[in-house]
Amino acid sequence: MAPATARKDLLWANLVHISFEMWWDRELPPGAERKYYEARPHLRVDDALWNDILAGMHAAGMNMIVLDLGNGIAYESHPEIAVKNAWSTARLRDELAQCRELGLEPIPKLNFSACHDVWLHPYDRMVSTPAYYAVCAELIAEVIELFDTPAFFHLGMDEETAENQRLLRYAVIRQYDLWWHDLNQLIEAAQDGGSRPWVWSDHLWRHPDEFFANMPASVLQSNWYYDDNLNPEDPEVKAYAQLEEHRYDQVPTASNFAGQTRNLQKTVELCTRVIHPDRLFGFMQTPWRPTQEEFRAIHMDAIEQVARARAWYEGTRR
Amino acid sequence: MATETGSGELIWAYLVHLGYNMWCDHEHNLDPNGPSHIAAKDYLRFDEPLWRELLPRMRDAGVNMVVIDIGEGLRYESHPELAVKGSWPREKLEEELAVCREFGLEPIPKLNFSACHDVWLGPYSRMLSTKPYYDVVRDVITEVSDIFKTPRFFHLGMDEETAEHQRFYQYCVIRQYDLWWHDFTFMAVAVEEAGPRPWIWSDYAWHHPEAFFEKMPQSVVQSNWYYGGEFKPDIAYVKAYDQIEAHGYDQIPTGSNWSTKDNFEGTVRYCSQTIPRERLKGFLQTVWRPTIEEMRPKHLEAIACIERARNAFIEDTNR
Repeated sequence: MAPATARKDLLWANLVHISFEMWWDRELPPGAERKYYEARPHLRVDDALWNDILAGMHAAGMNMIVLDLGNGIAYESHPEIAVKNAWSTARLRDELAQCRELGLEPIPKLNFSACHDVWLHPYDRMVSTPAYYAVCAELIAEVIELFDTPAFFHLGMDEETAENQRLLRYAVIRQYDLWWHDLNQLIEAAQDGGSRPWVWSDHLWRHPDEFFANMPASVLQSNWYYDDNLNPEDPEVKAYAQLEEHRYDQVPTASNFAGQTRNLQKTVELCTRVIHPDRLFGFMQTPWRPTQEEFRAIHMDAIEQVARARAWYEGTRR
Repeated sequence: MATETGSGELIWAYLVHLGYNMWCDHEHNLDPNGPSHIAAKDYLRFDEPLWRELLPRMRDAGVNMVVIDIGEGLRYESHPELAVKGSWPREKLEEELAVCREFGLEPIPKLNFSACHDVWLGPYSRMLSTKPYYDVVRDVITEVSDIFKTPRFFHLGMDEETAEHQRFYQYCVIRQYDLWWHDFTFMAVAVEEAGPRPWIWSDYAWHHPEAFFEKMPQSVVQSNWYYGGEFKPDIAYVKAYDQIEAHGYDQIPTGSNWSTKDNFEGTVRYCSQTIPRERLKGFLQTVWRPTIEEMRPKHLEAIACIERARNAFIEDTNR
């Protein structure tokens, strides 16, 4: 099917988590900072908030919702990874239809970074084995079918470092050519299903030479930087210009996850200057919270920030 | 057994590598400044003429225990998929253990289950802390204990499981928090069920002293290791000998000629002064080189270091 958003329109996307088993693989002590990042055995999606997020995005003029599925779906190919109360595939199809009715192109995300793959349990402890490769390929194929061959498939692949896994019980880091080998397997699986692969770009921060030598131009890039002040000298901010220099298509990503009020606006201002319109596919907002009532305010604020940034952008086009 | 060192006799042990796929998970060392011989190979690196020469040398130097790091060097009957070209069949290893005993050398097995040193575990080195992994760990411990006729000790390794130590690996794994302890306990129980006493490297105590002294069972023999030439209690790795003693563990302090020829003698001198005899089970010398002809001088030097240190120890004791 034709994607709801032709590429002549800038994407205004919001990342929403159906699963949140993507950070700590253990229970954190009571009172721990950001305790919601711990893995829990049940689905963390409140229907009322979910519906309000969709309505809010529609009202804000947004046109894409990226759904981080994780173990929030009872996959037919791998039901063993689902959390309690995971959405059935039928429920997912119904919700995707609702997204489309609201003008929101649904795009799947499965994060295969070893830093964010608790949702894959038990396969998160078998990374880079034949069993792991088979599960990844099967899940990608099933999700592509469920999404009716989406234009993009976000594969994650961020923060696979020891530092980012310092709080995990089981830390895995693929290094050198193995990281690329595994990324290429995932890319191939997405492309075989008919979707364009999409990844986080932070591998570039740590390995710029190998990134530009090995990253296919066919992979959509989401660099991300979450401070309100975009210091152009910061390597993470410079990455936008580096990706443009190497002519990658981009969806720059911002956040309000730590109370930022201007990060998205600043990201839009910077990236509309440094990225050629042909390669600037749009922007993505990320609140990085479970889709639960206790986080309603931050979800709604994220959408309001998109509305303001989008209004500013539209104003510059007139 | 007649060839075993009695429980009261001080152990003078030498670590020999039968397998050597323990430091690099690639056929080339990805560390541009690192030694090429640590690269993983699909064939056994073990020259029997050198081995045959080392055994009488060890005996003559007063060595009474040989710790054999088996790795991929055995064609395990429980897991033949771990073998490389030239891995010894069970019968061959049993014959060689008999030869060791004839030389008065008590053979002790070592299988290093540290995620930093388990390339020899082949496909299972990428599925730690899973059911297939636990099954393999138990199977090879049981099989090796049987081949060694229920040895007194079983060295489990478990050293250097950090990101820094795996920075040149393609696949880095670190078990953290309770998972390291869960897996270590699983291994220790597997060893005890097979009959031997578990023995490990103690460097986890350097990074996690509180957890180490809270959770490490007294039943596990400790080998702290330090390879420098200077012995002062304000050197953290030297201080660890004192800390482990303060907590009442049995120790087999470990030296090496890796950095300096003087280390083993210094280790024996320092530890024999700071660890009471009832908890000082002996000493272990390590060369950390494959058992191949080109490494002959380092092996002979390491054994000569044991002889020198042992003679000095005996002289001090008799003084």
